[in-house]
Amino acid sequence: MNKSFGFIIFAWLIAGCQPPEPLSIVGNAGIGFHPVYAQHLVHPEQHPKNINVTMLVSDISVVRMLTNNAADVGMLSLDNALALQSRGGDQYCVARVIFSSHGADAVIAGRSFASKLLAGKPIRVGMEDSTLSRYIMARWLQQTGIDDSLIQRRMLVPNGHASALMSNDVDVIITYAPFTRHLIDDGGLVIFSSQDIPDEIIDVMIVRTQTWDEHRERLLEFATVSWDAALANIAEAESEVMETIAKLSELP
Amino acid sequence: MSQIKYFSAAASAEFLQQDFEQTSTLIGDQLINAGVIAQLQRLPVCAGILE
Repeated sequence: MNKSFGFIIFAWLIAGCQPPEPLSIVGNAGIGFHPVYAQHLVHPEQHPKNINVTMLVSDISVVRMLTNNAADVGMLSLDNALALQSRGGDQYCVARVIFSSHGADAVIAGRSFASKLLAGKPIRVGMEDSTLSRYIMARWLQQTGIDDSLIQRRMLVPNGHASALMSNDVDVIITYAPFTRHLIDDGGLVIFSSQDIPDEIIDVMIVRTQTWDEHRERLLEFATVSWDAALANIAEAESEVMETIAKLSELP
Repeated sequence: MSQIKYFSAAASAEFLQQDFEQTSTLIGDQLINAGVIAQLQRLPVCAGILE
């Protein structure tokens, strides 16, 4: 009797010591997610146990990680999230609205754009092969009345945008901060941005519904307490978090 | 960061309750018009977020 009781207590203790199942959270390199990436590096104690947060190079990578079941949670634009949900397959739910973009997503023209537009010549547009880029392209063309038949799309990952524009391989780039800054610093001109379509570029945290059901407590904590703490961290100008964000923003 | 407007957990919950459906419909319509998707499938709010 005592042995059985001892075994049960031992098993219970062992079970209690087991770390929770790891959960993988991914987002693109957009500046809006940097507070939570920096928090993960500087203040991992502010995240629930066994949560891995990874910054990926592009939206395509984020969507691919989700669809391959390599990630459980995605931080991405609402248009990307809706397109993913509308394709069928795994179902997702939205756990948090993270931010809205007021100029962070932009269409940036190089020196060849204006003359080509005036001459009615084809315009080469460099963009990521993502729903967000297509969305911004569609809204830019709608609002400016530029004929879609003039547009020649060139699919490029974000860290190739600056060099493509500077080497005149494209006339226009569709991208987002911090990649916009390199382009503007090199003489690119913002000709359209999310400021022109208020409240349309909104970034959210989505979770595979089954994962949410199984790990709701930790994911709810991440979506509410952890993210609020990440925003509090960036309120301190001279902090290790802000230094980390500055380094993340320097990525090519 | 000045080009970003962050939502606190409370502001997020308020947006999800009041504006999310309308915003999703607006964006979904644009995605359909742009030929990105054929039909919009609703993205629900995770259970317990609005409680």
